[in-house]
Amino acid sequence: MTSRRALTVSPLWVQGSILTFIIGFSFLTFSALRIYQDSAPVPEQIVDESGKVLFTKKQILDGQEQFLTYGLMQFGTVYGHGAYLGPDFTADYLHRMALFMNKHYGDNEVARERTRRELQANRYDPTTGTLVWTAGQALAFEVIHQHLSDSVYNRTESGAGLKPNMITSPEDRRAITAFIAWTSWTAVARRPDQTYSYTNNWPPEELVGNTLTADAIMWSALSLVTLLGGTGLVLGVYGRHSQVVGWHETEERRVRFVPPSSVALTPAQRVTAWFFLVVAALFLIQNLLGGATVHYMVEAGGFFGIDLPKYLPYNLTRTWHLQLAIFFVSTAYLAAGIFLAPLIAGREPRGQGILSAILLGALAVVVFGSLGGEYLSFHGMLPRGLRSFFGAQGWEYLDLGRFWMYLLIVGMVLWVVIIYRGLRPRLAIESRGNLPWLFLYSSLSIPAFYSIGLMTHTQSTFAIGDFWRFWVVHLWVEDFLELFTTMLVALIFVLMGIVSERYATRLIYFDVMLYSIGGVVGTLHHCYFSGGPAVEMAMGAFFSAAEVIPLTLLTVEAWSFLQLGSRQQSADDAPFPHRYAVLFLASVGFWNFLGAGVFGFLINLPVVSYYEIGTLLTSNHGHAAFMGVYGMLALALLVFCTRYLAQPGDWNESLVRFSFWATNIGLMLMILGHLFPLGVLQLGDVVTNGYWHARTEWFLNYPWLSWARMPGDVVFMAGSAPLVWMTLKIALRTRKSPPPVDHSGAALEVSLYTEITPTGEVARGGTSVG
Amino acid sequence: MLPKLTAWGITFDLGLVLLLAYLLILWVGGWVLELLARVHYHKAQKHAHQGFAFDLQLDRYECPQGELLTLQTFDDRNKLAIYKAPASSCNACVLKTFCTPHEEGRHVYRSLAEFQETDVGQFHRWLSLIILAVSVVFSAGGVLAWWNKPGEWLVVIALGVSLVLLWLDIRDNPAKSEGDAELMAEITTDKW
Ligand code: HEM
Ligand SMILES: [Fe+2]
Repeated sequence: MTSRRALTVSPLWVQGSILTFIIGFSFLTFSALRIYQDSAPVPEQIVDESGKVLFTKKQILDGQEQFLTYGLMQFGTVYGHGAYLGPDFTADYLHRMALFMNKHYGDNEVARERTRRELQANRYDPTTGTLVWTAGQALAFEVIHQHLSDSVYNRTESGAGLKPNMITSPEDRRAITAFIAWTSWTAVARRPDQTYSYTNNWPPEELVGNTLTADAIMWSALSLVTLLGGTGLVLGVYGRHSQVVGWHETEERRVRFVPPSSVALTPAQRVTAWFFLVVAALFLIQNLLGGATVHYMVEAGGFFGIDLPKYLPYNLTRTWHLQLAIFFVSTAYLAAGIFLAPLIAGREPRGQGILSAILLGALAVVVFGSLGGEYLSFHGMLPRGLRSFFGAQGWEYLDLGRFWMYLLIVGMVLWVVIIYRGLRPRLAIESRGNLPWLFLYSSLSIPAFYSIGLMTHTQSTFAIGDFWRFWVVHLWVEDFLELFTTMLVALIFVLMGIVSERYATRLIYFDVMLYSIGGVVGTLHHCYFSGGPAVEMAMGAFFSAAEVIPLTLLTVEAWSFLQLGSRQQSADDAPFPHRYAVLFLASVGFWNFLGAGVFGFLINLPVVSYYEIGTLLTSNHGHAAFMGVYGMLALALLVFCTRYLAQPGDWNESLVRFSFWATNIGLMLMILGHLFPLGVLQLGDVVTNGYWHARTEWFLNYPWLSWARMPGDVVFMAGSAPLVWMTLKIALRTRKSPPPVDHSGAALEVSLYTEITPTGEVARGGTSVG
Repeated sequence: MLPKLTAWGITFDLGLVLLLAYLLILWVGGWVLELLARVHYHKAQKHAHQGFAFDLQLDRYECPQGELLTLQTFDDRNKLAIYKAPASSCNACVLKTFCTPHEEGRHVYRSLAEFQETDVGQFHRWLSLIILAVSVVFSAGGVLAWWNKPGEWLVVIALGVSLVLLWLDIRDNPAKSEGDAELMAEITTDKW
């Protein structure tokens, strides 16, 4: 093999990154071990005081599976995790149980004291696996089961976003209530030798004596210290060494951008035109489903008088809304990877086009197959044995059936193969720490961490299943996708000649270090109250505060550089072709700051999360961060790549401009007009009237406020619709260019810019990275 | 709907307090947003020629090796002032490979564009206009809700403030921002 090009940055960067990565994952692995040892136990059997078996472990776990596969986690929540139209089943059960017991025991102060004592007492015997319920608990079960049957499982007419007769089997219904009752038991029974429950006393509930723990207060304070100290530290180091790492350039560069219509296209690149059509179409459908989902908050029984819940109940529209958000963004990333690989390698091996087309086909099968599976599962149309495999697993964000999950992983692996084949000529001659390799690792991390979702089963103990689920959800969005984003932006700027490879590479290593400290262990900020040990809360709070640092620091810097870089370096006679791609990237920076940094931290401290979890403030953060960062990035990639794929006549700059403004302004209006103010009001209600109240009764007070969502939604959708039209034209009439390569492997004449000297002549043809 | 609170002997309408607090967040938010973006834009401008000291009086740069770069020409389309060092001294310089890829002497491109003229500036300007517009809508809603009730005058004042802020922001257009560069030079020269 030929000798490799040397590492473009100091080896210290590589070593530092590997070290922080290992440290971060050691902490997370430690927390994994602890959660297996110390999560809330599922008893072998629950008996009444006479010893009669009420339920078995099998029934409880079975109930969890029914709960999930009928889509109830996409209707309401358990432990505050899930969807927000329905109640929090854990808190609601707990509240109803306490009310019932108070009444049953005589409705006076003595009764209230007795209820509290009985509920807090931990009557679980680990040696026999038996949990004893008092008479009050056992009787309360029957009453609440009847209530849940009437209002959720087996309604007589559409309402609350659900259809009538949803769950027909009485055993299934009973098992589901058993699961819910078990979660409520974990929320109030004190841990052996501790003064707080398995859920760190969540939910706040006066009737049972659940209040904020001392640990939660202490770790919140320490979390603030990490944030302030960490920011100070990083600012100090960064201020001193910002000439070494940061978004800028010290070398003089001036480039002429090649007009997009004269950049040669490879077969695989031309296939991505269809990927981007799929991106735009999924995005539009995703938006429409979001509209239907929010409409249920105003009119829970239908859609402007139509009996929508019969066909598309709330839990289904919400599931599709979330799944399509993931799908449209992923499709854009896959396409961008395929599009960029030949630019980096300078050539394209035979067969990449076909492979890419196969990938697109596979993706279509997964998307429509899994959405169909969810439909069948929620409507009870699949036999029980097949429901979680071909139907839906029902864990929020990992909603799709296992079969579809396997297929999606196969698809993503195929994508990595495509990237690897594409980069191979270049990889062979590069040091393993250089940009092309980093791009490959970053691509690999995406399927690798998605596969960890397979650790979550419909019958996993809840805290454990949820823990692994957040390895995917959290580590994707707050670590690997942030890195992939920096990677793509850096690469695009290197490919356009605006930043040198050395600067870009350093920046990526710097990001790896910052995210490995905060982002990795920060996963645990989702596990404060779902039944894991208290140490998860401590680590989650302490480390996740550090995540905010790179978000606010680096992205703000990048966001100003983007504009300056593209303007300053471009030579005057050829206009900069990516005005809107760069603007979409600037909006990624803005939303990273506001949506992830500010709104994420707002709900991050345990003392806040204790009241806030599962309210509209989470939704506020979710929208601002996910659409704002990854959605806008997907659109940036779409705009960047289709600029080259379009025939000059099909490129419509004013349409893209409209989309840019409409999506950004629409998102801002959704947040300021609806999600944020309503979220604050709801949080206030949690504090004053209790969690169960804020999740049920409170909503009834503000039906009119949900209309405040309308303007934002309409403006936003007006922005997504035109992109479908444009990408359709581009896919149907993708620009043809002379084949840029003979398959003998000769280098492509693909470059996006040429470097010019002050006297105007071309000094160096800039081909690809380097 | 929302309860009344009593503190220091005064009874507050919680809804009104929350509304006013939210308006305050919007006013400050809109302003901070533009300020942050502006400061970072100017910081990025400074970074763009790191190591090169600019002398405003003499209108020239000094490179890390002490060579002077004088004004050569303007690029009107991109609003750049272009400075250049003598080719002979650059070509003899030990740092040449880290500095410039060609033989004509290092150039420095100083952007004359004001923040609001840039696309990113426009983006943030529009966002802050939207934020202030939302504050107008919310305070107008407040005026309707509290009309003829205690606290009426507070929402009326809030509506006035929202309108004035929105108007000031609309008025603050690119053509009228000469002071900008100097102000920002001050903010960004320190230890950020
Ligand atoms: C671009 C980056 C981010 C994205 C896309 C994102 C997305 C999301 C989403 C979709 C949820 C809702 C999860 C659910 O419904 O269970 C969520 C929850 C949450 N996020 Fe983020 N987030 C990001 C960054 C951050 C950051 C930087 C922080 C704070 C340091 C943060 C803190 C939280 C917290 C505390 C929750 C609620 C915990 C829970 O309910 O599980 N997020 N995030
Ligand atoms: Fe997270």
